[in-house]
Amino acid sequence: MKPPTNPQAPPPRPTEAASHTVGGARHWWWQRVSAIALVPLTVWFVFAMLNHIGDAQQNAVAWVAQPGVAFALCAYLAALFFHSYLGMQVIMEDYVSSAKNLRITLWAMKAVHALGALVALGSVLRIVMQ
Amino acid sequence: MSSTKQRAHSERPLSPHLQVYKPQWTSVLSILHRASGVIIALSALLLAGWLGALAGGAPGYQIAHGFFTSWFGQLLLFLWTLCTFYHLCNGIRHLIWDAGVGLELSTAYLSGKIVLGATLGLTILAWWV
Repeated sequence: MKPPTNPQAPPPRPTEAASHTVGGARHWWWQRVSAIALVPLTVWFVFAMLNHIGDAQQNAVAWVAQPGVAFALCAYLAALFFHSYLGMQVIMEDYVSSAKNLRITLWAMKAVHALGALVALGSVLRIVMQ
Repeated sequence: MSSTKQRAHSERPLSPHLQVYKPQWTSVLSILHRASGVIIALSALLLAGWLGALAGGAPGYQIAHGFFTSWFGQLLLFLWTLCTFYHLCNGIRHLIWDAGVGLELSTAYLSGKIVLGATLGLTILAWWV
């Protein structure tokens, strides 16, 4: 079945759409892959985080430094920031109308997510290395 | 509008804006999925801040610790728990839909209620059990 076409304007050619939006199938696929990875990681993380957020620094550091915890944390953080960017991208594509503003917004989103992932993952690695 | 290219962008319809819908369980839960996702994304930055403070040293960690143990920090953590469990449960509902299962309207209503129940159950479990 063919999807209904938009009578007001021809659909843009792939090169005409914002470059970020090319590869919708790939986006869809990675959103699901990261979602499935996040199912067990999120359940673990919420319970663990609520247990440790009030810890004194030494105790929290000792918790993060355990190899299993550090590994799960890194997996969770990577999947979290990746999935978060993919989701925010879809929301921006739905509600930011001009191609130029969309491009700027998506670059800003990318930068914020990359920075967040860098700080979070870098901090875990730094604790492990200590 | 000077060019066809520009017109193609400006006249393409956006997703329906929220206020044109009569709220229904299905649409409200769908919007909540997005809203909770945005809140989790913002919280991820706070989480990065906590980890950064933890790795950074005592003075920074004192601030982070003080924030998350204050009533406001606890309230944020509670909302984060609700949003995360909701997004998790409703995300699983979406994955089941992706498999082509449970798409009948009556089933969608039922699974929506199960999601809300599971969200509350998991949140209570995480905070008070």
